[in-house]
Amino acid sequence: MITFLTNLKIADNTGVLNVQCIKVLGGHKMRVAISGKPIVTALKKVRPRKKFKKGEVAKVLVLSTKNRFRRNSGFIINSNKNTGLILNDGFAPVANRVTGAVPHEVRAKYNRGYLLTRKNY
Amino acid sequence: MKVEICSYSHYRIHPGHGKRYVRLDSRSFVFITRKAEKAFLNKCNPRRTRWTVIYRRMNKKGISEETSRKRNRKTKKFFRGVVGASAEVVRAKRNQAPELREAQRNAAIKEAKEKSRARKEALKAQGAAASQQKTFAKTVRAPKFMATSR
Repeated sequence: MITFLTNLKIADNTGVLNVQCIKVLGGHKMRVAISGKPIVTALKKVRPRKKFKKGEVAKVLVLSTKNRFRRNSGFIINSNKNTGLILNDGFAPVANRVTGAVPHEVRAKYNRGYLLTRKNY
Repeated sequence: MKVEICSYSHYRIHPGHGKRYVRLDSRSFVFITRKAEKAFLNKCNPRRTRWTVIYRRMNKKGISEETSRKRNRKTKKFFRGVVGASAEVVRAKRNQAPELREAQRNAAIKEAKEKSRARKEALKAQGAAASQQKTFAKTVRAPKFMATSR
């Protein structure tokens, strides 16, 4: 459940560590983003000498959320962190590696020609 | 249908029940109830929590004690008839003294040897007669039984 001003961790190798959601994309008056949805974020904490800088604005794909979601099999799943993945303006992942676990729904959707991550749930 | 096992309490979880918790290190845990989940997140040790399966298994709760001893099985020997010989014949042979049996065996061997020797001598005598015949009439072929008996 990612809303306006939610803090997320970035689970890729772009050098961005923490971001804050400033807009939820994907519809008119969309308030809440779940895993697999894009958001707009402000970069809060960034490693030096990398592609991105602190204070920039970037699109992020939500990977895993603390809030639980339900699969068709009846299982309810949640994670212990809100994590995301930096996207470019064309909604394609910028990084070439993702750390941590990714729900297989997101992986199926965004695994465009390269390995997103081996760990998925 | 896949039945899973609770990570904390080790209860069985049927489909449509339970909750999966995914840590950022991508290890996933399954919990049957909120109680189990909370206990796990509070880092309670399931070996010390009384109601978990692990505790009960460790401390041997709820297992009816089995007092019945293990039965030792012993192999018994039976004499059975073999092909032509009945059980009694076999038993009688077994009960014979070993010396007697050896003597019988030696006698049998001796007899067999003598027999074979006698047969060989007879063959030799026949062969000599045949060779004599050959010297007299070379054109006459040796009878067929000679050829086979060699």
